[in-house]
Amino acid sequence: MSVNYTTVQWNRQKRRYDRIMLGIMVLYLLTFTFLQLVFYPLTSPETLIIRATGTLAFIMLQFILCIGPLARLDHRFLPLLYNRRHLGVTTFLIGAVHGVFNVIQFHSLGYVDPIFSVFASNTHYASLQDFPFQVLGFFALVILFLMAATSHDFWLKNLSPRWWKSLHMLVYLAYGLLVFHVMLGVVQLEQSPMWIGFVGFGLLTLVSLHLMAAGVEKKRLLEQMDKAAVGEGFYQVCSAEDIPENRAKMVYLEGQNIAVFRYDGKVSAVNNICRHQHGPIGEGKIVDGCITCPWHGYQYLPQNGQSPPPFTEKLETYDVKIVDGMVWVNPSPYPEGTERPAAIIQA
Amino acid sequence: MYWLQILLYGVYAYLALGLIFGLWFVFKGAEQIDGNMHGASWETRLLLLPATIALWVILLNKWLKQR
Repeated sequence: MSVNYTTVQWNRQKRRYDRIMLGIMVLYLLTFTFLQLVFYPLTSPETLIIRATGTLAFIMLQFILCIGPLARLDHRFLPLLYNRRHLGVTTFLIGAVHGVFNVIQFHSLGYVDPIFSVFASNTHYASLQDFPFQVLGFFALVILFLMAATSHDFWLKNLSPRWWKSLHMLVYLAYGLLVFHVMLGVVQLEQSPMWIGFVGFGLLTLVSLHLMAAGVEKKRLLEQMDKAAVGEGFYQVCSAEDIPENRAKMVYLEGQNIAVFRYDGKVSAVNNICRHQHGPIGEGKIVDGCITCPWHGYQYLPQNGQSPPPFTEKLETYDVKIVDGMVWVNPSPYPEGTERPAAIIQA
Repeated sequence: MYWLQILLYGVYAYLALGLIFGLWFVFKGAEQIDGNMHGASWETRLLLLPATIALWVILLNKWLKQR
C-alpha cells in the first residue's frame, strides 16, 4: 500500500509463497535434467539449459494464466493470486535465461550482430512451416520483460492503472506468440509429437477455464438481475443471511460494481474494484476489521472505504438498508472515502 | 535486410539514451513526479531502472509537464 516505496513489501505469506514456488521450480529442473540425460544422453549442457528453462517458463506462464479463472471458479485457489507478481517476474527471468542461451548458442559465433541474426538467419517469413519461430519467442520475451519491469507499484501509479492494466493484458499476446513459437519449433526441430500434445492440452485447459469462469460470472449476473426489486433508488440484492460473516456479496447495479460486506452484525457497501491493481475486493474478506483485497492484501475500512492510516487509497461507498432481513443497496456512489452508516442486522 | 539493421541501430540509440536518462531519473527525477519515492533505498531505485530505460520517453514527458 502506498506510503513510501520499498523494493518488496515482504510478509510471512509472500516468503512462504516464494519458497514453495522455488522448491517446485528446482524439483522440475532436476527431474527434467534427469529424464533428458536418461533418454538423450548426448545432449550438450547448453541444449539442456535451453530446453529446461524454455519448458519451465512456458509451464509457469500457463499456470499464471490459469490462476485467475481458477480463483473465480473456486475460492480455495485465491491464495495463488496473492503473490502472482513474483511468479510473473520469475517466469520472465527463466524465459530470459532460455533466450540468452539461445542467442549465445545460435547467433553469437559469427560476424553479425546477434540480435540482427535472430531476425535474419532464417528469412522464410512467408512460409508457415519454416517460419522463423525464434522471432516469436523474442517478441514474447520483450512483452514479459515489460511486464516484469513494470510490476512495481511505482509503475502502476505513474503509468496510471488503466495503461498499466492494458500493458499487462499483453500477457495473452505473449502466450499466443509462445504457443506458435513452441509449435513451429517442434515441427522444425523435433520428431516426437509429444510436445505438440502438451501445448495443445495446455491451450485447451486455459481456454476452457476462461470460458467456465465467464459462464459462472454471467450466470451470477443474470440471477441477480432476476431477483432485483427496485424501490426509492434502492435495489434488493439478497437476504442478510445469504452473506457469510466477514465476506461479501458482489452485485452489478446501474453500471456500478459493488461489494456488500457483512461484519459484526452490520452490512456496508463499497466499490468492488481495488485501487491497487483493480482486483475484486468482494472476493476478499474482512481481516482485523478491514476489507482485505484477495490479490495483494490492500485494506479498506468497510464503513468509509478508506485505507487505514497512514495509507491513502479510498473506495466509493454506497447507502445500504435492511428491510425484513433483506439487504437493499442504492447504487448512486458517494465520493471516495465518504463515511456511510452501516445497516444493522436485526437479531 | 538493410532496413532492419538501421532499425536496430535506432533501438540501440533509444535504449542508450534511456540508460543515461534512467540513471538520472531513478536517483533524482523520480522524486519530482512521485512523492512516494522520498527515502526510497538504492535497491528500490535500481529496480525501477530497466523499465525506465524502456519507457523513458513517457517519464520524460511526465517530468516536463510537472516542472
